[in-house]
Amino acid sequence: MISRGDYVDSDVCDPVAVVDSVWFRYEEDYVLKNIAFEVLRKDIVVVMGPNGSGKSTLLKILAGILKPQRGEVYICGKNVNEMQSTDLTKYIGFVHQNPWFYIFNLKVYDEISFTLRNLGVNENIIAENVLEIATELDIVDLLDKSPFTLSEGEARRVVIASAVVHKPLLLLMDEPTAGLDYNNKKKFIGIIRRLNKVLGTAIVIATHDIDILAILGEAKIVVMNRGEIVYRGYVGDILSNPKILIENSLSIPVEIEIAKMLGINWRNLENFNNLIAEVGKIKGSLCR
Amino acid sequence: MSLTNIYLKIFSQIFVYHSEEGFLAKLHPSSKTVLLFVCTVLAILCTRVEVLLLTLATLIILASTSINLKRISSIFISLAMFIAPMVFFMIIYIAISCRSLYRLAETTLSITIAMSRLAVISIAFYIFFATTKPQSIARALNKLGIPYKYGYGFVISLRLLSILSNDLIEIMSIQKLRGLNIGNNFLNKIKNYLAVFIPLAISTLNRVDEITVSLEVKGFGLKDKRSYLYVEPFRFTDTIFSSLCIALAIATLYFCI
Repeated sequence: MISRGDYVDSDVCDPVAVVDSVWFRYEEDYVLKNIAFEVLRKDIVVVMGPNGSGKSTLLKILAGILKPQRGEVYICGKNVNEMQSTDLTKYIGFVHQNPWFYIFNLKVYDEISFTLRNLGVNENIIAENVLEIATELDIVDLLDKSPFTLSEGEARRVVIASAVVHKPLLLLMDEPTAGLDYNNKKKFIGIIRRLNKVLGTAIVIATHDIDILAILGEAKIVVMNRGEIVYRGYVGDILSNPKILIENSLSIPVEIEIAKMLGINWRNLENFNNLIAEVGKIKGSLCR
Repeated sequence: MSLTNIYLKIFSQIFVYHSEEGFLAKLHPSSKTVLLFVCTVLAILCTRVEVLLLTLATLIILASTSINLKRISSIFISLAMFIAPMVFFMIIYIAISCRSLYRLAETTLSITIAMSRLAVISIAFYIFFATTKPQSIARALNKLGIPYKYGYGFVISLRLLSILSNDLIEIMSIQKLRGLNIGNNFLNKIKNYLAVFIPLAISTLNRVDEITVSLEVKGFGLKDKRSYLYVEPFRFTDTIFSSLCIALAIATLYFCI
């Protein structure tokens, strides 16, 4: 099981992140308008919205990559724009939507261990952590390979591993499941949950992959459109009232639609395989 | 945002077309090429500071008809940021080495001329790229007799420059978030910059590959000649504007040199 090493700042803070009335613009028009929310220690927050709604920009502001024109962002009570980059590394793990923006080492092992090396961690602990995270993400057989020979999906898993290997307090993920197949999405969500439960890593996922909602089950959700938060609540609630999803150019996960049609309690469904099993049961009882 | 990022951000805006309205945007690309050529020649040949400053002022007035003043001022600020350290060190050098006040004034004047030349050329190029559609530049180059493949290649590489500088900013931020510290030692710096330049090269190659494939599937480059769906008409305004540019340039050069 993953455990936080003493190389990561052990300060326990709650809320982990506070976004305080943030306004941001690249040019004339604001792409984020008065965004305010908190990310608590045990939170998994899914930020959803159509293309151009400001999800990626919000994540970059949380990571301190962009500075808002108005408002502030605090990570563990510290203003993100006043933090040293080494402090940010300890607190934050960031997964960008383009995995090729990370990769430069000749071996996958070195790529994953890059952050830990920069934090000055002992080689034995590095080896332990890399192996642990590689096992979780099913990339152990890739460790000795060159990352430049990997497929898009494999590269994405390597990047996710390198972002979580130092067990950050806040994990920011921009479209993390793009390029992953259904089983790998499930594995990925499994890791996210474990990190969240065991280490208390708060996770913010910006995505428009609706599958995530069905697999994740219970998590907080923030729906954005045209730079504004149009809904905040829980995944379960929004799936009961999918009008908000549809109004904001998002769809309902197919398994939930089918479950609703068949009258199955979709809140107990975790994934498509479970739905198939449920349908099988109904079919069996009908045939009898 | 660090100073490097600010430079890169502004650099990324220089070659990007963003103005669809206004006098300059509606001019034919050939007229704007004439303006660009005239300004460059004037900046190189003219040695009188008042003429150069007047040209600069005219360019700014022309630019303000199509480009947001905020953008123009950001280009000026970046230019000033680029020039300022050079001017500062030159003035210090002159102040130390020059004994007479006359020499000091003379050298300051030559620095002002050099900087005005740089400003005129930079603004002329910025106006051209900001108000001319990339396809129009390619068409204009083709009309000048340059094969369309090279014209489009040139335009795509200009567009790629701004994408590259944006990518560079993102990659630098990402690697810093992973704990990358560039450091002070020269060898370490080179080694650490690999963490930025290798991902930049890989993602650029991926982009180039995508562009090449998308061009090839559309049959780009199959024939030596091609037709165009849109053709900008060379209007009366263009004739007047181009003639005026050439006449003014000749007159200025006549009195200037």
